[in-house]
Amino acid sequence: MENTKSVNTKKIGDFLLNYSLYILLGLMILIVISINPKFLSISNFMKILTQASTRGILALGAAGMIVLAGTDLSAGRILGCCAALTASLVQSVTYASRMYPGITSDLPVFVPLLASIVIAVAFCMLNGFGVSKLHLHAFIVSLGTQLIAFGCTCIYIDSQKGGAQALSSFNQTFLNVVNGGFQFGSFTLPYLIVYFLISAMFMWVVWNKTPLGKNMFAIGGNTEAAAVSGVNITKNIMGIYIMAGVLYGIAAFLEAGRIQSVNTGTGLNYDLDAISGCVIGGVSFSGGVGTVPGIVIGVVILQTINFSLSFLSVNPYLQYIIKGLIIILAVSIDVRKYLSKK
Amino acid sequence: MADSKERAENQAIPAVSDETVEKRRLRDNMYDMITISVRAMDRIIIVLIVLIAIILAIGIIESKQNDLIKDAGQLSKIATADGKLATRVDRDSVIEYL
Repeated sequence: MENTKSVNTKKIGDFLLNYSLYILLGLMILIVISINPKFLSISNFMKILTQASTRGILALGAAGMIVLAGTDLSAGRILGCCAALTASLVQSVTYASRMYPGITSDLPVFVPLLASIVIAVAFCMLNGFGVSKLHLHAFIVSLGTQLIAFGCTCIYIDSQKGGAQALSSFNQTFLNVVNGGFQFGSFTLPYLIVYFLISAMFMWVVWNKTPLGKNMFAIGGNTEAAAVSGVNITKNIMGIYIMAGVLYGIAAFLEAGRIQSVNTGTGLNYDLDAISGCVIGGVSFSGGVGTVPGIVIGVVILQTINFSLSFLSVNPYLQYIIKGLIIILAVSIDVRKYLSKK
Repeated sequence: MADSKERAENQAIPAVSDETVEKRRLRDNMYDMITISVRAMDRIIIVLIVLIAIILAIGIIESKQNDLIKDAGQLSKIATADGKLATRVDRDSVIEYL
């Protein structure tokens, strides 16, 4: 009898430990709703999902590196650099101050998308090479790449004839591809949300149904054991970084269209949002642990908190503190889970 | 002959439980550097939750006060509409008044 009781208590304890962050953040959202019931509307929910979409795609890329027991501090700046490139290629031909006056007709949309992906993959391969071949810590390599990407963005934006002005005035085709939506009567489902969901589904397949995904968890859990088991560490780490590069490139392309004006500040702190989303979603910094649905939920929860705090007009400085504490809380809960397993 | 030799070698390997495998997997992990106890970690988590709640409460109260000040500012503008417009409202006095 006592045994059954203790098993039940343990089960409840485990449940609370595993879902404590979701419960707490859910409570926080409930408090916001009770203070201002207007928060609970479909249009607000769509705004949150739209804002979360590009950061979500970024997070799906960065999550692979966290599962490998590393991190990526360069994601935001790589996004900024690729967004600047995208923006320069999709400027309207009727805009007099466009970066490339030689382009006299709108480029097909896949051209800037491919350019963005190629640049993002190049930066990520640099990270991957540093981690897999030179055995440097991902933190240091990505810090270096972050600065390189930021420098490249500044030089590129500054190279305009008119000086360092924001890249804006995009062609309508590009804007329609990014900011359009499926119409269901009076309800519009933004394409951005659909792109995010497709990316998440694709990553779920990669993580769960391909050798690359299985090897990623093996390497993240114990690199030496994976190597002894015959996993090619270098090849798989490079594969994960290239995959992240593709996602960063897509996120940059979409972000340029979403914000419609790209400057040197674009992408600032996006990496931190992506990492926070992953940590809230249960991706462990100890490596080898994480799920795609968890990341999607983590990113959406983080965006909901951002949105709700702004909705309640909470002081932006306090918002930073709250977000910081939530990240520390998420990591603390992760460590607690690890300690109880040991 | 070779088969029986291989079988004998396999039998010599002691059986390893799932729990041991999991513990081995967790070895050499960055979190192993943490020497804190589970109970201490629980306390840290509780402190963090309380801190978040306090700061959230401060933020919400402050935003509510700002809303009230804005409303009071509108009222003072109406009150002085015939002459000079009120450009600044003393925050503390408005809060005290309300």
